[in-house]
Amino acid sequence: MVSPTCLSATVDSSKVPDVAHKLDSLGFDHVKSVTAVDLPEELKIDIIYHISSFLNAELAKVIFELKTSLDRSDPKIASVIDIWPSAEYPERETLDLMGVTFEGLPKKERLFLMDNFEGGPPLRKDFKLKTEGIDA
Amino acid sequence: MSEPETVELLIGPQHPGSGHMRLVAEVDGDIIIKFEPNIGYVHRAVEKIAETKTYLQVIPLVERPALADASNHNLGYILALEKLLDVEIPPRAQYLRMLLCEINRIHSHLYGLGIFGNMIGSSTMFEWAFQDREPLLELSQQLTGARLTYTYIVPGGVRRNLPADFKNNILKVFSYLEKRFVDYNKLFVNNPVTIARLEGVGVISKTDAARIGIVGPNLRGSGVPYDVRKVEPYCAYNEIDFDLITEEAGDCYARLLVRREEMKQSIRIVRQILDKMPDGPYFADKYMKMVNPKMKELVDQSGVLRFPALFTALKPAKGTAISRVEASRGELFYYIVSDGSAQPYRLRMITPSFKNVAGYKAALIGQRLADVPAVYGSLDYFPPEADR
Repeated sequence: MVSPTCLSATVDSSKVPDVAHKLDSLGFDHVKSVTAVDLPEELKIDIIYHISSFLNAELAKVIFELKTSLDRSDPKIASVIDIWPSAEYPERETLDLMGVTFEGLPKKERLFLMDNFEGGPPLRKDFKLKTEGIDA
Repeated sequence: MSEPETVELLIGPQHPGSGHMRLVAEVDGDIIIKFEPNIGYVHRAVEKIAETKTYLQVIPLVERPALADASNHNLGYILALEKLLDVEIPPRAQYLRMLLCEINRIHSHLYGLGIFGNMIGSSTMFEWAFQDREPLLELSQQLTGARLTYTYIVPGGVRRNLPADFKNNILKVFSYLEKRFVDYNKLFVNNPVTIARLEGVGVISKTDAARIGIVGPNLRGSGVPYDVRKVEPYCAYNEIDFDLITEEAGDCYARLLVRREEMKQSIRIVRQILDKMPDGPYFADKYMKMVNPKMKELVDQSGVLRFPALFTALKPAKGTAISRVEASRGELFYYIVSDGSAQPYRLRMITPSFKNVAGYKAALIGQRLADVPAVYGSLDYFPPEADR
């Protein structure tokens, strides 16, 4: 279910830079969010970009949802930060917490987790949170 | 010396400013040539924990990263959730939601103003702003029962009706605040020292502001007229008359002025809310019918809601939903993926401070090291909100 002001498109991951260039030239000037959703049963990780505009008043009313799927065993996709610098921190976060490689992202160090963090990417479904306290 | 020597300076994670983050500055003399904010010191994995909680339990979770702005974070989450619930919100509840969110905006801006004052050496501004938040926190308590983390906005409406004497109390607070705003101008905003520290410092151009994706008063301080309350009005903001505040300069002073004016606009909004607030229920009929009759009697007497049993394991429709609201520090974005169970499959929460972290680099490269506190304060950056 999407709100009326939300447009949605699903593309192959190799097409993301082309689509991003096209959207940028139409006036979609920033990324609100880069979200990764782990789908272990389908062996994939979905990446969803929510794109909109600050400078174009009409496009500002629209949120464009660009979706793509990556192979869960080796999730890799081209970074869009050359097109949309606003994607830098959300992409770095997604690398850190979901283990998705964004090719062309200059900063590859951890953003939120400690440098000595052990274990897989914590937002993946197979990473289980430990219960603490009286019920543990 | 043949080549200029540069020094890398680590500022924080414990520093005299506000909150925990590290700033890494490379300086040539005292001019910043490289700048990198290093965040994550107060990361609490809100998005991961949300997947283990019921939809109702997620409310206190998403509220806590932004203590001074809890109700806007509460509202954004509920708006996304309600898109999957198919429930109609009574008009009175919409007004009560806006009421608390605007009270929040004023005291969040006061919080930002106080910290900003402190950072550039006006400890009186800090004391004043924090002192003047107090009556607003008291009002929040009268309305919701809590000073800061209200969990006031729930699926279907709000938790409590408006107390009988609330209108008079808040009008009294507003006439006090309006006098104080004059004092703030005299002491701080129009002070030549403040202007000298802030004017022309940390400039972010209009195009840069949009491209790096900073939000809220920081974006509007660079001349971009973007406010979710105007662009995609939610609750009943389309029935309220208020100005979208922008400043063209894009410097630290412009960001200060935007916040000062927005507090006045919030007061204007609340006055209209109180005048226009419709009578009627404050909780959706669909859910109220499920509250057992004895409880319902108690609810009607006290004006305090008791949840229907359904809320312990509320199951929204399968699908995805997004929402955006104008929180105090800027646009707040939620994306919920529901698999039809009682817990979110995935909750994405993009907070304004997480977007505003990009502002540091844009504002500080080429500036003097001594301007770091001015820029930090002007961005109203709140580490727990960014780290989540």
